[in-house]
Amino acid sequence: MLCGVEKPSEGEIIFLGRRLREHSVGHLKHIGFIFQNPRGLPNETVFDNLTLPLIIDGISKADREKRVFHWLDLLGLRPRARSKYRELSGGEVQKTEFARALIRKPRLILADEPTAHLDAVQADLLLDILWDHYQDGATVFISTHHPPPFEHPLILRYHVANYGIKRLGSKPDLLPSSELNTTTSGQESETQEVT
Amino acid sequence: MVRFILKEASLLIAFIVLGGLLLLCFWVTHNVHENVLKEYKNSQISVVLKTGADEGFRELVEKNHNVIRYDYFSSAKNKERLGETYPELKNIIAPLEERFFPSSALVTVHDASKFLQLLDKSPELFQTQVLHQPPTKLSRFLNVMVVIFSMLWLLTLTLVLYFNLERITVREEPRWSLMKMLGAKPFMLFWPLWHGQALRITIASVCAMILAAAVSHQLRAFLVWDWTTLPLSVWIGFFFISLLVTSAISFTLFSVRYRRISIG
Repeated sequence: MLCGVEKPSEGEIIFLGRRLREHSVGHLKHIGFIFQNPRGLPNETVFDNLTLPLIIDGISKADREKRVFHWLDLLGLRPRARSKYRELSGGEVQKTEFARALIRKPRLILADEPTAHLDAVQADLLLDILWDHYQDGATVFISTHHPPPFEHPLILRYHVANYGIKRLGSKPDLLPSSELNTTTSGQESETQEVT
Repeated sequence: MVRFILKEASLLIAFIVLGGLLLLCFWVTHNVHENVLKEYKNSQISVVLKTGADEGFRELVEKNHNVIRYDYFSSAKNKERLGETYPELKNIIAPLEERFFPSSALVTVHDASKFLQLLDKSPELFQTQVLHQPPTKLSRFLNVMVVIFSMLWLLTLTLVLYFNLERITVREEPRWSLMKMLGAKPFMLFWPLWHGQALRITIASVCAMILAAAVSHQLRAFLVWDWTTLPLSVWIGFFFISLLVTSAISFTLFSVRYRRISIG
């Protein structure tokens, strides 16, 4: 529904103060998607895959290179910049997907198992980056089977199963849902597991 | 893929042939209008005069505001014209006296029925009259043909673009899907696609124009009138309309297709 592919059966979706229409794609620039399975272009290089969002945004070539190399350095992918996407290992693909989703500083991040193919150190690095984005004002949804073992007042945790949703170990008075950047009115959508 | 290419190639040939036929139809319509219909822009009436009624008839038509112009042919002139029309009879016609050839007039009028009513009131002036009406049925037929060929041409163009897009979609769907997920507007992806389609239609349009020009050149040798070529504006118009329609149809087809592309 947030992608504008489906209409909610009731109510409406307001994202960044604007009502979402069916088939609208303009707002997707403000959403960073991280999928469990790679969505990159296999025959293009890591660098080209990472520049795609910036090309769509009309960023200048020099600025594009600067931002792409910043992310490649951050994630330790610089030596693979000119490698074809299909030549990457599972972890490298995951990090490239991560970088592509976050390179334009989206206001909403939807991550489905973002650390699935990574070791603990790399997973921590990615979660730290997500945390930084959250602190910069982004709303972050992470769907995972391996939630972080710690509690934090700013993390809302939900367990989604059997078409039901249940809030876990949270402190509701610390962060009212109205403070989320995205608000959904009407029926709840069915999702898996959200932290 | 081979099936797709064969389908596209055959449609492109159909597009060229239909484009050529459309232009030929324009050409015939244009020449019929120029050579036949222009002549009949106003109704014309041939009037065969009675002996000695020449002056009375002249007076009648010169005073009448319904008459645009008239051409008078004396007995001698009609005898001469008949000899020119039928040269094989010239020797037989030459010794005949002029009284066997009545004088006549070809009158061009605004309103034929009004003039015929006027003639009916003066039966002493003429022997008979013939009303020449413009060939409206032929004109209507040609216009219908132009519409039919235009529709067929448009349909073929749509099919050419549709199958071309379908083939490209098979190849480009992952990229479009990713670009859509990243918020790319349809126009961004359409623009590079348009270049290929516009080039293809430009070449096909030029081929259709060459085909039409060649066929019309051959046909001119068989036709009785002095058939002129189509004005330059029609050729240029055909070319640019082809491009414009291609852009509009391509973008519409692409937008519809892009909507159906799943995100990511």
